[in-house]
Amino acid sequence: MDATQITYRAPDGTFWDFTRPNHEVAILAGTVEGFSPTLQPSTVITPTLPGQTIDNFYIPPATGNLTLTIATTNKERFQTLISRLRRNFSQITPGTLNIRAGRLGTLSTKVRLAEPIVPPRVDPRDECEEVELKLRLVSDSGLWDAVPQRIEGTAMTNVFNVGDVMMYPEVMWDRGANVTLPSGWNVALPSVSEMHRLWMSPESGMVPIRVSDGWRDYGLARQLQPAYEGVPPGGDRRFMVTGGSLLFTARFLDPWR
Amino acid sequence: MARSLFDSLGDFQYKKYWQKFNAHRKEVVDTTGQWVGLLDGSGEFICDLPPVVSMSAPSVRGDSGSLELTIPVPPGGAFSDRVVAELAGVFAFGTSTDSQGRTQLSDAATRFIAIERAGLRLVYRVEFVQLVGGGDQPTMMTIHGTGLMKILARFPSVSNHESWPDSTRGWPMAKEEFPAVDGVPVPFKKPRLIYPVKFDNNPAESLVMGAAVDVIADHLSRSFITVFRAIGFRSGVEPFVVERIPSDIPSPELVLKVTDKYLWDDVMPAANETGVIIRAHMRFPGDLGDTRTVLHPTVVFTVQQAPPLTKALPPAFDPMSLLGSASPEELESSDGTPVGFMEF
Repeated sequence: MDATQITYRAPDGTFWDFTRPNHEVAILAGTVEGFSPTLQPSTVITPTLPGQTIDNFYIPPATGNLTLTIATTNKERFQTLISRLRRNFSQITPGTLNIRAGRLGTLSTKVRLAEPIVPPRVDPRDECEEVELKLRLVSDSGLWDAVPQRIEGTAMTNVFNVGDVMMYPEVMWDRGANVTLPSGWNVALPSVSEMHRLWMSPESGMVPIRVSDGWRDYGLARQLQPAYEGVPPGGDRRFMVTGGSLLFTARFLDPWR
Repeated sequence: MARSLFDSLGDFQYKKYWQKFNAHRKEVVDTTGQWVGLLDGSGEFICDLPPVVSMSAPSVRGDSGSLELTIPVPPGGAFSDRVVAELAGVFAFGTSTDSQGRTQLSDAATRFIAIERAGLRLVYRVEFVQLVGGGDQPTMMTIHGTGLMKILARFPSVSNHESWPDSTRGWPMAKEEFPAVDGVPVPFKKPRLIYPVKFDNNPAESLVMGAAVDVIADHLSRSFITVFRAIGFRSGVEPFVVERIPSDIPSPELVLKVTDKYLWDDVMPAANETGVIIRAHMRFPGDLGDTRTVLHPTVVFTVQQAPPLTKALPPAFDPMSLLGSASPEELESSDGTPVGFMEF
């Protein structure tokens, strides 16, 4: 198995590979913690019965920490790197953290800073050429997304869910499209002039997003008749789409497995 | 006016539509355990609702039941937009609020919330909604609804069926109100369709007698048919129907006084006293396990004789036993005919 790879795509598009050997910005060995949420089961306890019965699970946001080291001999370069890193992690706008560790391929999740990065160490002697940058991150969804599986064409296609939670389709279309859900229920998508995507999930607000610039098109949302059906974990369901394609993203709790 | 698919689609297409919709709800229940959706005034689908934050739906025998359901409506989003437009747009904006900020129901369109789980369907009529938000925009909506039994509290209890109009003959347009104040007709701001109906003031004619379960079922059914015929529903596709559930328990005799008020006022005290249970549920086309299928969403009132809650009732007709708690002075009217049988 390949070595674990951890990469990050900042909100502005800057790409960081924190696991490249001998690179000036890298993860300090042994500092990666967390990133899998601790599930909170809601339980029912009956006094006359042993144990507890699990009613439901709540998936909380996942927090995780990692520490980066910055190693460079060039003071100018050092300042640039520090500044860029601090700019690329935000408490407001999430970036995408990717982990390739286990047999699931690259998994990704949107992360924000859970706490601000500590201020730089002020050292009047200015001898500091190696610094540690401790990042405390939070993934609001609490889940790791696999590379999406795409279906298109006019036949009913079977989709398996290997993930840990319900999997809902994301439709991409550029004119008009019609999605047939597993029950046979049709969702007609409003006609558009360029590529849009829509995650047909109860978690989403069901807002179509224009792919070219990420514009959330509330006008189109008003023309939708929201209805959702998904694939339960471990199960399979048949979907069909005409005039577009469907993306299915299996989502996992543990990126390391 | 409700945009009913029942009127626009053909019978075959409508049946197919419901087959698909039934499959959709079943799929959501099978995979997530519960389906919650919004229905229009005809009982037809508007949209799925987002997962529920909290819900309380208490129900007791003899009461209409109520619903309090909170869903997230973050700004933007088709769920939010659609639900806010359908409920808050209809109910909230442009209508008045009371001292606690709750929107008042005006002449808003009828909307239903339906909740389904395996083997269970609860349907509530939306009465008012509250939008709650921490910041500058509302992010939660609490929907307050009442059970379908509440329909009885809004539906006329008809005494003189023959005097009600048949809509095919048309209603006269009235520009002035009937002599209202001191015999002077008052002009309407907007002309209305008005039809005079007769109220049976003669006590002897406004009494319906027989076995309690029959009297109650027949009276509900006849009132529905009369009123729906008057407002233009085709015969056989009335939105409310009555069904009798057979029971081994003999039904006591009942003398029902019809007052031309609301069905609830006339029927519920009698039903409680005689141990007749009235329930209401919404039946969809294609529902299984029911005695009668429906062509379109229909509110079915079931009437069933249950053991009375109090003492055993007499086996044969005994009018004195039905006087119940009526006070003695109500027992005789001026013309000597006993009235006030059901004044409990």
